[in-house]
Amino acid sequence: MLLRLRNSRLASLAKDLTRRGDDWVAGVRRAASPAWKPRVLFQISNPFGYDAQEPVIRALVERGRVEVHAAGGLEQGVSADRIDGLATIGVPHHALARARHRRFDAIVLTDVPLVRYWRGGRRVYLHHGSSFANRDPPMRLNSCSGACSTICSRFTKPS
Amino acid sequence: MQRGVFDYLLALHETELIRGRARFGERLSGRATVVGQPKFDTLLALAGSSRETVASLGLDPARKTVLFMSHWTPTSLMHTCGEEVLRFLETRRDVNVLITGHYHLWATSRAGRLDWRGRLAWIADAPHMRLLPAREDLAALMAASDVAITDHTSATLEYAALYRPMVLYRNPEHPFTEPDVEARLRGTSNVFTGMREFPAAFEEAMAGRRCDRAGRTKLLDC
Repeated sequence: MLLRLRNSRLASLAKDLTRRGDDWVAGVRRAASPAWKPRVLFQISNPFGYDAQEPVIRALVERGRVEVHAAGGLEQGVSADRIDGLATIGVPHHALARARHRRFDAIVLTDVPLVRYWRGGRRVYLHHGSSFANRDPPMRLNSCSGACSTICSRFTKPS
Repeated sequence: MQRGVFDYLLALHETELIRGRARFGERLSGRATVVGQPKFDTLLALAGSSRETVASLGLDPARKTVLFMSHWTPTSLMHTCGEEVLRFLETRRDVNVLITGHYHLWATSRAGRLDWRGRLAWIADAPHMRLLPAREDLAALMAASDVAITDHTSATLEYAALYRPMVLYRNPEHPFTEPDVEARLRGTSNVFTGMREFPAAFEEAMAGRRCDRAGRTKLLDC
């Protein structure tokens, strides 16, 4: 019992140290690179969620203030054509299994995340519909510029 | 923020923010911003390209086009009187009919195990109707239609932004949390609660009744 407790404490300590080390290395890299940009991952969960994410991805790429990545979607019903379209605007697409081990400053989700991102990242919720179960008042009629500005302003400083 | 799942919220409207503050208090401070719904960019950009989409589906662009949209839940249009409505539309050869629905509606494991693709296979024999399940171009379909027959699916609010007539199915078993929203939505739609009321609501929508611009603006910009 005592041994098990000690082992779990050691495991927890090792995890904590690894994370801190990872954060420290990332901080050094950022400080060393004047061209550093925050890395924002869009986790694609379904076609209707991607409908909300896609214009934000495009707007963020146009602004050029963050490094945009995408993961998932193919297994969740988003067509390969749409995913391939990301490459044409310079957005790398990763398999979810690989993305969860990479470091991102923000992860934009449209659904409850079923994937654990081992290297942190602030989880940003973007609605996949225009209202939650249509029981809420309707939304403002503005465009993706609000989402885009928010992501840019929140994450242009290292987390 | 809910159960520690998210760190930031891109909210749809001020009310969501107010509710969030009431629930999470100071924890929400600086972590939520009202941004609206980015899908509108695509929808409004497509609003003028309706005829091309209709023609690409092999339908007559000169006819009016009706879009049937349903949520996937048991109280939705498709699960209650959807088939009756579609049989009615089968007889209306003077219009094009596009049938689609929520992504989960077409997944048999999520929609009460009903195989809607199989049940609606008869639509293939109706030359003026197109069954378009699990389509990724809902915005294009909305932009292509003159009238929508819809329910409590959130696509209803997206369609409302086009300022076109809506035939709205309101299932009494699916009340909105906000009575004010319900009233605003009803005020700018042709409402039916069952098949008996549907034909009259449909004809009113086809004639463009109850689709006043001021009412829609009030609905959308609250």
